[in-house]
Amino acid sequence: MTLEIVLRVLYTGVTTGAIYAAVAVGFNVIYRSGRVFNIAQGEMVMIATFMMVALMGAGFSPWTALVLSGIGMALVGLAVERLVLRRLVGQPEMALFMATLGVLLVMNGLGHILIGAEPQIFPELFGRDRWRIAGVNVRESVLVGTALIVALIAGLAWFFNATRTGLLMTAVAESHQTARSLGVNVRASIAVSWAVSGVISTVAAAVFMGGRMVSGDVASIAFVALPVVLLAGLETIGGVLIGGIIVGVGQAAAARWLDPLTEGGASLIFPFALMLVLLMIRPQGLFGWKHVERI
Amino acid sequence: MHDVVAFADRPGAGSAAELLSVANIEVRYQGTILVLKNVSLHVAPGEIVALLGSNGAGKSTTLKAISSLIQSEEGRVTEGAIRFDGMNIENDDPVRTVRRGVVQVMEGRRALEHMSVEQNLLVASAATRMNKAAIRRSIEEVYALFPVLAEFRNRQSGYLSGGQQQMMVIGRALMTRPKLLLLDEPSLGLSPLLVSTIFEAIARINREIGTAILVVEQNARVALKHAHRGYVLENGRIVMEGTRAELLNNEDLKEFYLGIGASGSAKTYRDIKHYRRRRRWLG
Repeated sequence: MTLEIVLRVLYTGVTTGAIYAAVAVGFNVIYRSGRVFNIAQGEMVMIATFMMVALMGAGFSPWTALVLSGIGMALVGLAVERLVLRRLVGQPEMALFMATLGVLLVMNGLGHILIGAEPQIFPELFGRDRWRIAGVNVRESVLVGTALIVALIAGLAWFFNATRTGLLMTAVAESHQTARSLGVNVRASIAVSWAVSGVISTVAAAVFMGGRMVSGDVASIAFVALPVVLLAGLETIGGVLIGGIIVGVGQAAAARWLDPLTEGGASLIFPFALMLVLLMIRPQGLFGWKHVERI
Repeated sequence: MHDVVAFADRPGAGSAAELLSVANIEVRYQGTILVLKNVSLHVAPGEIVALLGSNGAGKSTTLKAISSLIQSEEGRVTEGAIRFDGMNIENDDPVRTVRRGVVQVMEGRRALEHMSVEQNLLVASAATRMNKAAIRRSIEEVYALFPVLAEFRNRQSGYLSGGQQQMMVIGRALMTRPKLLLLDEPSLGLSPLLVSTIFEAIARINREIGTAILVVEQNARVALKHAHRGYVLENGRIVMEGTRAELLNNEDLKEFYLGIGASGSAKTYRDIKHYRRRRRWLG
C-alpha cells in the first residue's frame, strides 16, 4: 500500500508542480527581458480565466476560447508594457516593481467590478474521463493539461536557446546596453516578452482552473508560484519545470505525512520554507544566473 | 614654438573623402551637464585614428555620441553635427546606427557572460540581414583572426580571461560588418604583452578587412604605434591633432602622455605651469 501512497503523492505533486511552473515561467519571461519582476502575473492569470469563462459563456468551444484568450492576453500584456513600463525605461528595478504593483491593484479592482464576487464554474477543457491507474485516481483533463504545460515550457526553452530571435532576447536579458550596442532592438524584445507572458498566463489558467469554482481570488496562485520562481532562478526557462516539480512534490508529501500532525499547516508553509532555505544557500536559485566575478 | 601640430579648430570639417565627420559637437547629460565643447574630428575610410586623453577628458562620451549610446545615459548632442557616409547620425536610434555600419566596443569588455563565445558572436549578426551561410563565414573569419576563440567557442564567455574577452568583444563587433569600429580603451587592465597582441589584431582588421577604426586610449604609446593620426582631448575639448609622426614628435605630448622628458631631465613645476597656460590659451 505504501507504493500506492507514494504514487499518489507523485501524481499530485507533479501535476500541481507543472501548474506552478506555468505561472512561474510567465514571471521569468518578463524578468529576463525587461528586468521587471511583474508582481501582477497572478492578475494576468485571473483576467485570462474570466476571458475564457466569458467566451465559453458566449458559446465558443473550449479550444477556440483558449486560442482567442491567448490572443487577447497577448494584447493585454502589450498594453501594460506600452502604457506603464515603457515610460519607466532606465528606472531602477524597484521603481519598475512598484509600477507592476500598481498594475496589480488596478487589475484587481477592475476584476472585482467586472466579475463580481460570485464564484463561477470553470469547465474542464481537456476531457472529463477519470481512470484508476495503479491505485491512483487520474483525471484526463489534468494529464492533458500537464502535458500541454511541459510542451509549452520545453518550446520556450528551445526558443530562447536555439532560435535567432530567442538568442537576441537572451542577450537583452544579459544586458540592455550591450545588446543595444550590437544592434539588438531592446524595446521590441521587451514588448514581445510581455505578449508571450500573456499567452503563458492563458495556458496556466486553462489548466489550473478546469473543473473549479473561480472568482477574482484565483490571482493568488501567483504567490504559490513565487517560491518556484526563486527556487529555479529568475533567468531560467526550462529550470522552472524542475523547480515546480520539487515544490509540488514536496508540498504533496508534506500534505500526506506532515499535515495530520500539524493540523494542515505543513503543506501551506512548505514552499515558503524551502524558498527561504534556498535563498540563504544559493541566492540566484538553482538555475539562475550568477554574475561571474573574475579577480 | 617648436611643434608642428595643427591645432583643432576647423569648423565644419567634412569632405567627400571622409567616412565620419564630427563637426563642432556639444554634448550634455540630462540637458545641463556639459561634457563636450566644440569637438571636431574626422576619420577617412581605411584609417586608424587615436583619440587620446586622460581620465574624464570626454573620450568615451565622444564615442558614445557617435554611436548614440549616450541616449541610455540621458545624454544628447545639443550642438553641431555628426555625419557618417553622407548622413547625419547625431541623436539617431543606436540600433539604426549599427545597421548603418558604426559599431562601438564599449569600455570594460562587456561579454554576454552567460552565453557561449559562439552565441555572443551570433547575437551580433542580428543587425545584418545575413543568411545562415554568411553568418557562418563571418564567424569563421573571427576565429581566423583570434584562433583562441575557436578553441573556446562553446565555453561560457564569463569564464574567459580578460584578454580573450577583449578579443571576443572585438570579434563580436566585427560580426555587425562595420565600416567604422569605435574602440573604447581596449588595453584596459591587460598585461603589456596582451595589449600589443590586441593592437596588432586591430591593425590587421584595418589592413585586411579595411575597416576604419577610431580608438580611444589612455595608453598613448601603443595607440600611436598603430594609428595613422590622432587627437588629444582635454576637458571636453580637442587640444591637439596631427599625424602619428607629428604627435610622436610633439614635446608636450612626449612629456605628458608618453612620459619622455624633453631634455631627459625631470619635469619641473615651471614646465607644467607653462603647459597649462598654453593649453588654456589653445583650448
